[in-house]
Parts: sequence; C-alpha cells; structure tokens
Amino acid sequence: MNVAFSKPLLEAHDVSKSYGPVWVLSGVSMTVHPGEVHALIGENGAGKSTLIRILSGLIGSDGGTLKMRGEHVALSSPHDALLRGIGTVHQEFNQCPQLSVTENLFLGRPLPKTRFGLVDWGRAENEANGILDTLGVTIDVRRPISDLSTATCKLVEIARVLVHNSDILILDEPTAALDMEESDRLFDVIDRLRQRGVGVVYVSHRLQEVEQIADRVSVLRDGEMVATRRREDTTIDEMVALMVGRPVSTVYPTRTAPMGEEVGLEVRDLTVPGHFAGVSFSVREGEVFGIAGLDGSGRSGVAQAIGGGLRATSGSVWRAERQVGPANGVLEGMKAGIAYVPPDRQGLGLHLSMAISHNIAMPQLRSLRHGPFLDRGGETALAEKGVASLQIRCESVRQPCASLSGGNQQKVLLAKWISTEPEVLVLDEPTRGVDVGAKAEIHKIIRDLAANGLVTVLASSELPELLGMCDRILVMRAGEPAGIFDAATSTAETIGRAAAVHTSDGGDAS
Amino acid sequence: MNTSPSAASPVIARRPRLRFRLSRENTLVAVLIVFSILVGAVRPTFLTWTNVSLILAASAVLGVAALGEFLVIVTGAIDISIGAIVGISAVTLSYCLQAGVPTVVSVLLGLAAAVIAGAINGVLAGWVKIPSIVVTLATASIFLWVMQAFTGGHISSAARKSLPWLSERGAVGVPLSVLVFVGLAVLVSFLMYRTRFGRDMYAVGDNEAAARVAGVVVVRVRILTFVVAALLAGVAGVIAASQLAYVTATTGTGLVFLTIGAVVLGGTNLFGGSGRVRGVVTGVLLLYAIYNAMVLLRVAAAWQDAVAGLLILVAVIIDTLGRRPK
Repeated sequence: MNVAFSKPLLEAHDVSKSYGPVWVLSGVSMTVHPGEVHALIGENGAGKSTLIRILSGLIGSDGGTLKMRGEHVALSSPHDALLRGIGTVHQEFNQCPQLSVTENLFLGRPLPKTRFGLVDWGRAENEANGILDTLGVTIDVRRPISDLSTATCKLVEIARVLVHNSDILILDEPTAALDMEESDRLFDVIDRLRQRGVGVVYVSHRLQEVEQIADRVSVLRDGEMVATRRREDTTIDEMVALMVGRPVSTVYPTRTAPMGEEVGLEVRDLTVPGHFAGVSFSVREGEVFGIAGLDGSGRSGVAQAIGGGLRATSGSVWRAERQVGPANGVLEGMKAGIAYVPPDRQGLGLHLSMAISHNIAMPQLRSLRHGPFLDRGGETALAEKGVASLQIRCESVRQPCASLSGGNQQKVLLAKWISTEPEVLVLDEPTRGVDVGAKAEIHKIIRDLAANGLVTVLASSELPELLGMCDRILVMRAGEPAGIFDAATSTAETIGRAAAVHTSDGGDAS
Repeated sequence: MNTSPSAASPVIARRPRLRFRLSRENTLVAVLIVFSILVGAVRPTFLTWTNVSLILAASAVLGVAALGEFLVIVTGAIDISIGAIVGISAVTLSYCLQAGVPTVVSVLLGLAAAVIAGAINGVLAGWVKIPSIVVTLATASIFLWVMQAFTGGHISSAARKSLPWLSERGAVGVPLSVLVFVGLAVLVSFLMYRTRFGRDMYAVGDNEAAARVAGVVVVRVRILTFVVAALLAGVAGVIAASQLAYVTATTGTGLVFLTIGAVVLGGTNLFGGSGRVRGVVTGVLLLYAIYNAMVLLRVAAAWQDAVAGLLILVAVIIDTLGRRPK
C-alpha cells in the first residue's frame, strides 16, 4: 500500500501528557493510514504505553488533537473509541477464561436472540466462526478460553476487537508471550487485516519483528517522537540508535574508591524454570554489577533468585568460597547477608499505610526486642538513622509511607534493606518512577555503598543507568544470558542490540 | 516535597507535633458522648450508674469476642465462625461442670476446645489457603452441629451456678466480666502495638506480598491469628455461660454480625492492615448503648436489629467513601 496517496485514518497531532511535573509525552504526532502497519518502538518509559492509552480512549491528553478521517474526535472512554473504530488489544489479557470462545467474542455486545427472547446459541456460534474465519483461524468456539494456547487467546482477543468493524487496530506487544511459530501465525493475520485496509499500530520491543511486518516505524524517546521512518529507509542499527540515542549523561556519580580484589559473590549456573536458565557470573567487592534485558527476559528474575525471592532449582550461589545458596526464601537470603530490594514500592516493596519506622524496621523485628516486646526506641533510632543517612524528607518517622513522594518512598525502601547491613545488595529497578533529583540521590547512595566494599547487583531496564553506574553488565535475552559486557567499553547500542536482537538461529523461548 | 539533593534542612522535625486528629476512633468517642447526653436528656435513667453498669456487663461477651474478630480482620481475613466458637467454649464448660469436673479445669477445657476450633480455621485459611470467609462459614456450621449432636440438644444451667462470681459485682462495683473485658483490651493493645506478632499481623493485612519479602512467615502469622482470636472467643463463651440462665449449642450464633459490626464501626479496615483496639472497644459500647437506649425509648424489638444494621452500614459507607482516592 502506498502510504503517500491515501488519506490518513488517524492523526494524532502535538499530543502531550503530564503526570504532575513530569511530561511523559510532549508534542507527539503520528498518523496511521489505511492498510498500513505502523510500528511504535521505544525504551521502557519512553511514553509508548501512555500514547496507546490516549489513542484507545483510556486516558485523556493534556494537549493536542486527534482526528479520524480528517475530523476532530474526543474519545471519552475505551468503549467510545471502539465504537468509533479504534480497537485495542492490550498486552495483558482481558478475557474471561472460564467462558467459551463464543461467549468471550460477545462480551459487551448483545447476543443473538430467538423468537422467545432466549439466546440463540446456534446463531451466536455461527457468527463467532464467521469472525474467526476472516482471520483465517479455526478454533472450536465452544471450548473455554482456558483450554486454548496463549497464541490462540491472543487471536481471539484480536477477533473480539474486530467484531466492532474497527478500522484501526492497536496491538500492544502482541508477541510478548508467543513463540516464533505462533508469532508468524499472528503476522499472517495482521497481513490479512492490512489487505482489508485496516490501519495497525504495532507496539513492540522486538526489532526483528518490526523489520518483518511494519510499513513505517515511529520511535519515541523520553516522551518525544524522535523519528518516523519508512521501513525500507531504516535498519535495526538505526532503530536502536534512535531509541537509546542520548549520550549517557554525565550526572552519574563517578567511582570514588577502587574495586576490591576479592570476589564477593559468585553465581554458578543458576536456573529458575520458567524464568531463566544457566546464569553464571561473579562480582568483586565494591563492584556494581548490572543486569540488563527487556521485560520478561529474566532480568528481574535473576535478581530475585539471588535474594531468595524465587526458588532456583539448580545452580549455586557462593560468597567468599562458601556456598550460601540458592536461598529458599528471603529469610535464608538475609541470613546469607544478601538483601534483595524489590522494584515496586506498592507491590513487594513497602507497606504504604504503615509508618516509615515500621517499614524500615520490618526485616529486623527479630532482633529489635526487649523480651516479648518490640524495642520501639531501637526501632525509631534505626529508622531515624536511615532517614538521616539517606536524606529522606519527612516530618517524622511515624508518618505513613503513603504520605511521601515517590522518590522518598523509594529511599525508604532502600533504607529498609541497607539498614540490615547486608554484604550483598541486590537492587531491582531502584529508580523506577522517581523524578530526576531523587534518581541522582539514589545513584549517589549506591556509589557510596559500593565504595565501602559492598557487593552490588543492579538490575535495570534503563541502559543509561546501567552504563553510568555499573562496572560490568550481564545482558539477559529470552531467559538466557546473552553475554557480559564491560561497561566502560560498551555503548547503549551494543547492550540494546544484545538484549533485543537474536544473533544465532534460536527460537524465542520466553 | 523538596527533592534537590543539596537541601540540607533538618530532615526530621525532632518532635512530632502534638495535635488532636479527627481520627475515626476520636469521632466515634464523640458520637458516643453526644448520643448518651441526648438519650439521657429524654430518659434520665439512661445515665444512671445502674444502667451504665448494665450496658458494660452486657457488652463484655460481645467485647471480648470482637477483640478476637478484630485480630482476624486486621490480617485481612474474616472469621464467621466466631459465634460458633463462643458456643463451643460455653457448651464444653457447662458439659464438664455438669459431669462434675472442677470449675478451673472445666474453664480450661472450654478454652482448649475453642483453641482447637481456631487452629482448624487457621490451618485451612492460612496453610491450605482457602479464602477465610469460605472456611469459617463452613466450620461455623460444622462446629454448631457437632455441638448440637454432642449435647443432644440439651440445655444446661450448670455454669451460671458454678461461676456466679464472674457476673456478680466485684470490688469496683462492676461485674468481674467487665474487668476481664477491660483487661483483655489492654492485653490485646500490647499484643498489637508492642509485639512482633502484632506488627506482623498489620503487615500481612496491609500487603501480604511485601511482608513475605521482608521475611515475615505469613502462614504462621495467619494460623496464630485464628488461634488467638478463638481463644478470645473462648473467654467470651465462658463469660456468656456465667451470665445466661441456660447454655445451648446456639448460644453464640447471634454474635457474628455484631462482632464484625463493632469492629468495622470502630474504624478497622475490612481489607486489613489498619485499626485500633480503642476503636473496637468504643464500637462495642456504642452498639450496646444504642440497644439499651432503644429499650428505654420503647422501640419495638423488631426494629432494634434493623437500626443496628443501618448504623453499621452507614459507618461502612462513610469509611468507603473516605478511602476512595480523589
């Protein structure tokens, strides 16, 4: 399809969105033509999902306009967007697993009725088969969704959106849970839709896929649209460069003390089925060792398994010639002097409605005791020490964590684990969702700890952070190690490429 | 909030400011006082010492059981079988007394029976991980009918004869049962605010996943919570047996709604993680003050439970709207 001659189906012009003082999208423009597959790529946090949410009517924008077929539209809800012809298939599944394929396809839509006002299941099943036929898929529509493979579920989800005669189909990481063969089947379906004149917005991390099926590629970086290219005018190398293309900022604190000579942590052939396999590395005292990789690559899993949060089935963890793991549960990890700092403040990280002091002391309540009672003075002292040394801004340590800013919450989370005085600190996304100022402070804290000889493992989805903070970086790809890189001689391009691009034959066994 | 790294302002204001917070607990105390004054103005008998001690004596059973329910709700679970456990303790106690077992041993056996029931709840909810509402709905029915079969439907008045001192006036002019309630409230306060187990209960209720990552053994906390709650329900059963003319297997069944109601009225979050003991105590007293006032104001019996239900519903509505993010 020649993009230049058709009238655009969807035009987003100068779209902006801020959360508080942070602009997650600024002045983003994008057009989608009929019969076009328009890929949208960018690093984590570049603003892809925000843009998708705006286009699908989930959230409003703070500025800019949306046009469909040349006419201004304001989308009031995802349902409104669907009725106007914009269908979105989100990365996570939105299905009722116990209901049949037919029932799922008719969710939110009236089922055909018989003369007596009862559901005409025969006609409903025929219709369901008809819809699936147009996608070139044959499934027993009476089977419950939970019986189907992930790939088939994805196709059913696409079919559910297309029932509404969508002109625009937004696919958010549709292949995230699919293997190579399944992905190919999905691409056939996308191709069919393209021939029918549907405009597809295709969000993906996997650049080879983008190269395979996209007509045009748009790249988001830090909330701005840095480029839109026709596929034939670009290369994977250029895409990677555009995605990560900022220079590693000089704000990262430089190493103040040399690394120690002793190996402080050694991981041998660690495997957690379903997450990652065969990971080995060793970290010297005072070294900051990075783990890079896309979401779902095992990046976070490796960090968790070292701390005992995930149970490894084989492999071992060594500290100073002594085997200490794999730990079975965080308690064992803590006993071995390993502290795992989880990524999400709300989820695994903090008890938000509880006091700062209660949060900081929680891993140490075993020792903070006077007979049967808690040593509340000791608890407060511990918390105040943490608050002071990490410069957490609060009125009192009795304040609930929920009343703190994201950056300060993150520092409470760090204080909670640093005050256990671990010898190995495993950080998982320590600066996710915090503002620039707090981020710089956290980096300084990490640097200071390393200068004191702490073994630090830093898993992060942000390449600049890894390159700025780490000495060496392990890159994970699809659950397997893709190599260990020396940070000083690596660039965001080399790391990003190792994380996103298959170099060998292999299937994508995520 | 200031985020620039150079800001070296005093990080903590040394002393937390002393101020009166309009917390749920404080509001509830105010409501209780205003309500008492209003009712007292219409029916002066309401505020006489005789009547007040009547309210206190009546609230001891509910109060002690509500303390147990409170623990379970703080962990984000619920115990529907609390009334049946009150019954188990009361019936076991009466049965033993009738069989000639010494009083102290009978009381201990009653409490032991309650603890066993609590352990069954705890293992099913905490270890097998069945939702607590399902577990305790089922065990409530099982406990009740086992007791029924055990006693053959007989009623007993043995406890009232053997334990009259528990419901008679003690030294300070209130029945000993009231002192037991007050003492247990203090004890539970210590448990909740001053021990690791108490802290762990709040932690599990607020965010189970984060508690586990911080090294809290969640299964142990859950089982122990149900056991301690059942022990408190057992004490409530002993008090009930000493007060009632007759004890049957169904002695505690009416309590379930009121215990949960009092706990929620007292500001405990039904989803776990927050709540104060004094809120629960005030909730219990307010409920009984209202029942007592309705009797004095000659409100038909049929309306009394409806009014209590309405009150609890209003409290939950205020609570839910207040928690909704803006």
